[in-house]
Amino acid sequence: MRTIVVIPAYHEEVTVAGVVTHVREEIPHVIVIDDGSTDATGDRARSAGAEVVTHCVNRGLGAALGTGIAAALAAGADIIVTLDADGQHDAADIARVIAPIERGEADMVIGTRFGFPPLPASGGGGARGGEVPASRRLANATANLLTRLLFGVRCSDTQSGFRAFSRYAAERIEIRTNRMEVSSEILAEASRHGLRITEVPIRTIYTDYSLSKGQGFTVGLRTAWALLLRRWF
Amino acid sequence: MGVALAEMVLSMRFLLALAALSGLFWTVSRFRKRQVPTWVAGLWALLWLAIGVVALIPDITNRLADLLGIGRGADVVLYSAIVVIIALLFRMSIRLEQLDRAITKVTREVALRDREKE
Repeated sequence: MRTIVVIPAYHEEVTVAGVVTHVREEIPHVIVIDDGSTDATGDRARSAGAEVVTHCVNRGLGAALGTGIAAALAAGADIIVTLDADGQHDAADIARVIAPIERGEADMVIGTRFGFPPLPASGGGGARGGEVPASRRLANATANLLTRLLFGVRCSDTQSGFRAFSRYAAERIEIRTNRMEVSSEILAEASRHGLRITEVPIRTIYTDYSLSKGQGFTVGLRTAWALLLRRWF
Repeated sequence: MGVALAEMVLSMRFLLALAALSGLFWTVSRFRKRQVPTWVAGLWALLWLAIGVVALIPDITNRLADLLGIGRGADVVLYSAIVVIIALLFRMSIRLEQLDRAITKVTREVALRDREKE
């Protein structure tokens, strides 16, 4: 089966080349969505061997994922993997994340950081190990609760950026929101279409860099508001 | 003193009535040019009419206040204004969201077309 990895990236010139290189050791076809970066993100990704699709203006994570999935479908992907450009995900986990789809047991897989004993981090520069910081745990618990109340989907890590979709699933999931709320939206869409969702434990490599790029409190509030709008409008 | 105040209040009412009238004309002309949907134009027309009626017959707010169990006529105006403003804000935030999605759609189309060319 043809697997394509989609990596949304906004101002990630520091890490994107490393991520692309690691991923290509596992999966050769990588599409990076340069979401209107004004730094060298696109060039770095291209020289690391990724195909780069460029948003001329910054549209946010959800928009970039939507474009990436559309591009991967057009390129004939049977399985689409999404992961983050900040280096927090381990490319070595891709095989395990896509395995349930390859076996035909799931339409969509979420790589989860919770609900399992944390896996040892595989290392890397400035890695803190697999433990998820307490502030992140709280933010995630809130997001999980909101997703469950609004959309009726139970998931231990609704905000995870490490996912896999079968072609069948990717063709059905319609992404309407632009920003961080996309993570919950994808789950809502999956449940609306009755897709089979599975969770697989993944390693996370939290560095000072990747922590600084995550969702802060205000972004969290904005995400919550956007989810409310998405639910009823 | 009392006469001056009464005159001022009267001229304020006059200005308000004038504003309501021009607002009404503005709404009608925008509607006739088909720049706003019927229901939006209808709402605006109602709003301007209400402002005009209040300007010409201020006492009506007191009678309305009695009817609604609100203390004073001025409070009725205030509360209604708040409700209208919230409704407008809400509409605007939904409109913004729609615009946001439209821009994303365009950005995506352009990105995917550029890719086909390569």
